Amino acid sequence: MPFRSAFSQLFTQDTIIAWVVFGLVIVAMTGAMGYSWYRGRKGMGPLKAAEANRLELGYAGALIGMVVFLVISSFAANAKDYPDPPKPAVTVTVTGYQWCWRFHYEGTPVTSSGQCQGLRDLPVLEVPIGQPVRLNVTATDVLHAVWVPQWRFKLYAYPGHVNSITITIPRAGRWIARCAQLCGVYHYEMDFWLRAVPPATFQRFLRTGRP
Amino acid sequence: MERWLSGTSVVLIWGALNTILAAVLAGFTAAGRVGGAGPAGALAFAIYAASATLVFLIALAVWAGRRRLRGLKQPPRPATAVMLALAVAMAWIALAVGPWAAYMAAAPLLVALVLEVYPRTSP
Amino acid sequence: MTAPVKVVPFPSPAEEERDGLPQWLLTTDHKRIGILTIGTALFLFFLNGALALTMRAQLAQPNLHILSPQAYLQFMTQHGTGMIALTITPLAIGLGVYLVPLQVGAPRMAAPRAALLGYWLYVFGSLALIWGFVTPTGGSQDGWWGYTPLSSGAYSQGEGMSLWTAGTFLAAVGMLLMSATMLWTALRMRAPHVTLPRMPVFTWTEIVTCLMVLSGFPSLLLGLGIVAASRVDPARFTTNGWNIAYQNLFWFYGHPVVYVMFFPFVGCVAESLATFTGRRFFGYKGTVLSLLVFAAGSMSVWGHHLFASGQNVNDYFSLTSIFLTIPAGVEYFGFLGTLWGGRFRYTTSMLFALAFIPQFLIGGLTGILVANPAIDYHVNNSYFILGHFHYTLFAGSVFGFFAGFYLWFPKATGIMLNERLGKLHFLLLTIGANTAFIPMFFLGYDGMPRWMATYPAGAGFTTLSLISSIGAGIIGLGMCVFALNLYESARAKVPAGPNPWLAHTLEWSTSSPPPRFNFNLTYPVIRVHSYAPLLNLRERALAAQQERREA
Repeated sequence: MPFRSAFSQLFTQDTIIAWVVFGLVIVAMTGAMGYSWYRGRKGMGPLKAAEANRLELGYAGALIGMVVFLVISSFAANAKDYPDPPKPAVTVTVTGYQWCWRFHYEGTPVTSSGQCQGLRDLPVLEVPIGQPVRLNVTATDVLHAVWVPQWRFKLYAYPGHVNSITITIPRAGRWIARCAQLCGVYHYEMDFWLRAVPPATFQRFLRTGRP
Repeated sequence: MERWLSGTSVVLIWGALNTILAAVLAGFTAAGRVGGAGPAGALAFAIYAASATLVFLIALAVWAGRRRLRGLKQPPRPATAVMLALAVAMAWIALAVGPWAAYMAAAPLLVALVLEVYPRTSP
Repeated sequence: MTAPVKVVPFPSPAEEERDGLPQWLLTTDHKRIGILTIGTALFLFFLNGALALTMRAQLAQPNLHILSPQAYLQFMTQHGTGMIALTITPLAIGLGVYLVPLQVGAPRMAAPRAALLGYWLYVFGSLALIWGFVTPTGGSQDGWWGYTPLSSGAYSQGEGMSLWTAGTFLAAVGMLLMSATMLWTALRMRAPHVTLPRMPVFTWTEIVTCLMVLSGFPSLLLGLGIVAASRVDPARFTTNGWNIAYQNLFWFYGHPVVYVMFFPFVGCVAESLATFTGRRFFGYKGTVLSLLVFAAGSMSVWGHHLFASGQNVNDYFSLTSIFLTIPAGVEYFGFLGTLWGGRFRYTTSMLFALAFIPQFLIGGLTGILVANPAIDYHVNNSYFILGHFHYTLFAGSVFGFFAGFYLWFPKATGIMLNERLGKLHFLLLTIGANTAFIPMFFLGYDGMPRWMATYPAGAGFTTLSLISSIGAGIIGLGMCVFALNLYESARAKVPAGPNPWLAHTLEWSTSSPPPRFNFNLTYPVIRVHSYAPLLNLRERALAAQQERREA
């Protein structure tokens, strides 16, 4: 699943850089406090120098280098998330409305939905394990957004517009998906399940319309 | 720094940077994936280009503007400003309560006008 | 030996015969307009903060219904719009309206009636937003973005959303007017010897802020025009074009505005650090240049709010957003360089400035994380983002504001604030902010979306939400101490004198509070040779003293 692996790799890398920078700043601040105390004990006044241009230029150069690296890794990760889409095994139209979800499996008569109020009868989006699934995300009334935290992807649903994303879920399981755009009063309950099942089970689901 | 830095040049630097960045946006939009191509990308560029143009107009105004101090008197009739603010506010409130609020806005506007046309002589 | 100063003949301050509330409310004195703006914004700060505390109470445990979902969304919208459009932006602009003319040696600001008009538009805008709460359907429930079509007449009936549109528009025009007059003052009305490279860092931060307001806010006005149209004629807003247009227009304002709420406070921190280390601000040229590049570049990053929209040039906005690391890093170089070799005085202002540095850094570094689309696809619209921008806006900007507030309060009022209560205020705010906002990163990472009126038990959000709520309570306590400090200081009336902190910039050479036209015969505009003129004078006096002693 590119979204999850690209996220994990980039998040780890950039978090490490962030911690190093944070640590350096803390060290510099603590050092400056200690130095101030030392100068106080020696009866020295504050330093008069107000610039160190060569040091600053060198520092800016290092910053530019870091930024180039960060931008390249950002582009690379984004290209992994949105490659030229592989031919999907199945295409599902995901429709958000106030306040629930509806799934239509293209080329079949199967449409499923559920009750978003309370956790008992949440809609379930069924997908086959290991096969690319294309989600065509849209909405009927206001903006919504599909978010599956476990698989690290999110896409807005617009009325009058279709956004597409291709996902491949590698293993069996059931994960919560939430609406990630304020869409009115019951936004907080607008959840559904993403469930990955073996391809054979999935085919049976498409034939019968029942999980 | 002293030599080239002026009010106008500060605004011009701003405008130039934004022109460059807007041009880069146009390049990305032309080659873009993930929704970059298409009307949304063109729209984003249009907004940015309009804003960058506005900056050059500001630079022009700063360049043409004269430094002048019209003495140190209190500007007269500050109440005009309050009346004007009230009128604008009432006009907008019409969106919530109906057009009558906008008609009522004529009253503070009239007061503002009277204040400007017939200034009080004593401060 | 200094060259003879060409003194502009200032009149001695004509004593106002009557000086009461009407004179304040109709003032054309930039100092009073500034104080009115900051006072109004602080009042709203308490109000909008109280709303946040109520929301945190609701979120302390799962499935709580202290507030109905409708009321929660109203509180949340008022908290967001209120803090951004009616509190922190006016604080940022109001500080400049007060200080910029003083710092550049101008006797008054340009077009003061336009600034007064701006103040009143801001007041009427705030009233319109608050009015929403007493209408039958309550205030707006659509968040501070007011995205269409949710905000259209079809999906948000009632007056609340219309009043939100009107109020936000009025306040934005008010800020535009104030910024334009302030910019003109700084660029065109400086005392003859205050050249641009001799302006204090704070004035520079206000200049770039005004430029951001002038280039970004008109876009919001257009966007609000779209919302207003959708209130009247919602049928048109089923097409995608209007909705994506509104999002772009909104964020073309919405991103620059977060820097509008940032740079003036960078200026506050810079002045505070320079003052309380006794050093000239370090790397002035680099900082000024980076401010210009940073602020101009900030106009180009708005699309990073639309990474998950599927209708956005993600790579470009990732590039520009990450690029801002360079000027931000140069500013941090200035902060740390100023600290190095200073003689620290740990006043309340200095403590807030020192805490600003690592706390804003957390906001900035997590900002670099979310500038990556691949990371943002996960954390966008989650509590991670709430953690990120509360670190920048509260743990950063508000701390910077208090660094400035404790620094300049004696100048504006002539009396000192209580340092003991000030330090207690600082301590509670620091503990509270970090307790409240650190858990938000983990909540978002674990999958909690923002805008949730409540959450189910067993979703794994309970413990962290409770910790966050406790932190919010501590912040509330800290703000009570701040209110107490204001009351206590107003009662004690410890006189400040012109320069109680031995600060460096021009405003400290005049009386506290300054006379009507800022400088007069008793307090003339001193000759300015650098961006720290009073430090120059002190150093020269010290050198002369030493020479005498040696002779």
